[in-house]
Amino acid sequence: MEPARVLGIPSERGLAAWTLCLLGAIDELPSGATGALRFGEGGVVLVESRRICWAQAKSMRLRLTDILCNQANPPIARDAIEDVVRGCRTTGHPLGESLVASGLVSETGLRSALREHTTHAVAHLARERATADAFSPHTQRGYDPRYAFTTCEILATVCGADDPPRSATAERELAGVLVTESTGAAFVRGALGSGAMLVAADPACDVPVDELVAAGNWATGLLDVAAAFEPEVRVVRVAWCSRTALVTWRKYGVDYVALCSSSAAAARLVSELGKRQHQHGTPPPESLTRRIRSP
Amino acid sequence: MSQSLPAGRVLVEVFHALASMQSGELVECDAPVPARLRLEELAATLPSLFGAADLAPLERVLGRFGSEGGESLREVLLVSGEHVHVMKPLSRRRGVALIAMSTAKNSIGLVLSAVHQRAAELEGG
Repeated sequence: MEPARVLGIPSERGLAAWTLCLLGAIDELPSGATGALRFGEGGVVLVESRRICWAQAKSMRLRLTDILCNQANPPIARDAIEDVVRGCRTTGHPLGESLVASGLVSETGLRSALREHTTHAVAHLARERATADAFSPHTQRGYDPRYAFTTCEILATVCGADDPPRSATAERELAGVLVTESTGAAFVRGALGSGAMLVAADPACDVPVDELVAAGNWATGLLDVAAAFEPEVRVVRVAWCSRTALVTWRKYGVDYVALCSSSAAAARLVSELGKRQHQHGTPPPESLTRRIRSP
Repeated sequence: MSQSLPAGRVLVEVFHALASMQSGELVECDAPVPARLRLEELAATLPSLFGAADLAPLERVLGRFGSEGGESLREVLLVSGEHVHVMKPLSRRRGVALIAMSTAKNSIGLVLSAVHQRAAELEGG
């Protein structure tokens, strides 16, 4: 069965692989490169230091204004947002800052809307199998890092679109567990592609997305082996050298991976996850309860 | 082989064995039967984790977090609801790993200390 189409992100087999390929072109840009990565007539992705600041696909109908309007309940008046946009065009002030300053959206809400917009655009480009054919460097920097996204975040949003509650739960789990000197991501095995699918990523996780996915596949395999040996396995720590380590755990069918730059960070994670195993009554994510209730 | 380590008032019992990372068979083990059976099962996972697995993805990604080239997988710690397990490849005995298990799941640090001490003895360090 094909996964449900959610949020207008095209959901189809192979999309994850095409998106991964497209995002790989961004990760391959020189460190610190700022500019526009063009995908022929298909669209453009604005990049600063390998972070995605804006993306647009020609085939995409959804506009940022639409997302912002529908984010609140009751919806925000379109005129109010367009007034701010017009004001920014006149004054040259950054749109994001102005929207937040106007009180129409919160910083978190704006980031969420921008991520959704960027993800839609990237997914559309990936579905069209667009390939990057030119990079126009910009001489000035100035994108607000709060509203720029790693390639890992964008792939996670594309792959997680078939089950947003699961992705939201995974993001909360990462935010709650990760410690200083660690970053991480969450993976599932799903219908959108073979291997482990990235469904959530720590916003600070800025490793090349193909490397993160490869590490996720490795960790998922490790958890499978560990679970075959010991069904009640709670956490696995893999020490690579005296400092770096990978910590992985499985919860409600989602595999989590933490990459640690210090042994102390790995120890804190193992300790924290060890404590949490004694906590009972944690409700499963909404998506899981929905599946349980479904006939 | 079993080991009881006094640490203040805490006794941590750790059972050790040596196992082949290629075949997954025990090479040396004098642990009593219940622990030996578990160590045999643990040893059977070694080929999947160390023998056949391509560790390049792990090396690449952790290289970005400060590990240097030429390093390799140092130790796997597996914590379950009832046990702590450790797998540690020995640098001076190619293809052989020290494996260990303990029920002291709330004393992971002590278990690791015991394993590291045993590994140092085996490596002649």
